[in-house]
Amino acid sequence: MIESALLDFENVRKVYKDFELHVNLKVEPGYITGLIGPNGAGKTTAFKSALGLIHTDGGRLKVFGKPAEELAPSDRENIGVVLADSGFSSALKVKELLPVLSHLYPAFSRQEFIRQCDRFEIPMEKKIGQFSTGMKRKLQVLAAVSHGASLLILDEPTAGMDVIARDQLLSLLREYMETDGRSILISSHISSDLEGFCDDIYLIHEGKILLHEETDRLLNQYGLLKVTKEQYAALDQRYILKTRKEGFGYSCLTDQKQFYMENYPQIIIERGSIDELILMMNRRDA
Amino acid sequence: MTGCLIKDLMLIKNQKQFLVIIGVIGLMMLIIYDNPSFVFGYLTVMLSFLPITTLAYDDAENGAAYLFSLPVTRRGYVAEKYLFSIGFTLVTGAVVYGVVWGGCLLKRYSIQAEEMGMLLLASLSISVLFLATAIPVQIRFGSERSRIAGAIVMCSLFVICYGGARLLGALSIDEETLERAAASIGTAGIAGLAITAWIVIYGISCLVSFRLIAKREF
Repeated sequence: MIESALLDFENVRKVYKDFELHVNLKVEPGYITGLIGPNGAGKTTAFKSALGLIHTDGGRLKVFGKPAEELAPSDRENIGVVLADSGFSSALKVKELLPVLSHLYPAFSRQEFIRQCDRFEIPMEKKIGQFSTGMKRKLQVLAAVSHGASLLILDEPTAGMDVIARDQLLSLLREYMETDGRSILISSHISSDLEGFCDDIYLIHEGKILLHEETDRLLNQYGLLKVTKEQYAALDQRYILKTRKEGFGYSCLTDQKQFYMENYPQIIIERGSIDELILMMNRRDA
Repeated sequence: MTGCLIKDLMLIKNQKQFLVIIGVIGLMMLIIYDNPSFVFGYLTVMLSFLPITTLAYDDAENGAAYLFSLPVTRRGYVAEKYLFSIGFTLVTGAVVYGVVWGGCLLKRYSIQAEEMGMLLLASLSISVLFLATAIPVQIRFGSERSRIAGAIVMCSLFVICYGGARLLGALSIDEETLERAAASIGTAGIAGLAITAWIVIYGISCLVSFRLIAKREF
């Protein structure tokens, strides 16, 4: 599987004066991979590295098996992108993008793009600068899926959208994934989007990957133990990943929820969730 | 490259107000003044500002990051900007030439074709020098900081020109000497020299921009 990864970060480093990214991450064919973490964790830096927008300071970064810096325009035609802090020129109208996209992407489907713009209520005659954040994101997602790319790199694609638009957009991305061999790398600060959507999830914090897990395993086998000080003292801590001090005692994150359910029936065990995971993994041990 | 070219044409098209304003000012000058040389220089140089605005539009709100995530290479982008800028300047220069020529005919102002040709050459030379300076500055500093950097570069160019004029004075090379030298070369020779200078300056500027864009992070 190693060579077949569409996107492969191997010890990729990017050093800034006050921040360092050091990432190992893979996006396998047919996978939707989520990258989660708090603001400033390094998600956008990782995305920009993959797209060759910033120069890396070490490691190996491959896209479609090629070093990222050697990507030709023909390779880039095979990637669809949404960037959190960037987009189409605000001085243009959507209808003016049509000939631009047609020339940039030979596989661009003009009719389908127009149809999707209509479905998502994107006005063709209005300048993009007058769009809301949510509309700009929708437009970028529609452009990303409009040319048959096999890899989507989506940085906060649902930011600024209401719940209906988010649901519609995730449905669109699920439709996109119906074709074999396609993959998505996605980040979002809305954990429920990722829980129901991603096959596997990477948790990033302060530039480092803290955890990589299949989403099903994360939701089914991870759990949060709520224990008193006495219960904590008696607890088998072999499968405790993180501990947080609370008013009532401790919250403990485990990836062996079943073990504690069977051996400690008296303690309260909450289902694992991405939000809890972020909160627990980002804190220091008690 | 074609996609970027279309995008730039769309961006220019959306600046109709700017085009109308400088067009109206140009026409007013043509009506008020008998001598078309100033109108000619004004219109040609002002219109050469427009291709530079496409760089600023690309860069605004971090838009360049998204642009370079599309199938657009950094070198391809720079090459497109240089081709678009010189193409736009030459085409608008030709249009201005026609308009000014027409204005002269309407006003029955006698002007030699050679004189008009020299005016065109001088105006385009200023435009080429401006583009060759402004494009790398814009690429290096982006739309925000390039205003300050551009002002510094323009001041430097002025100092160089002023220093050159002073140097000629110190070497006792006056206007007459230059005119005699120009006459000995002939109109075709001057045009040839000017066009060679354009190619050299523009080419060096393009190479500098290739290096600058390769280093830039978005």
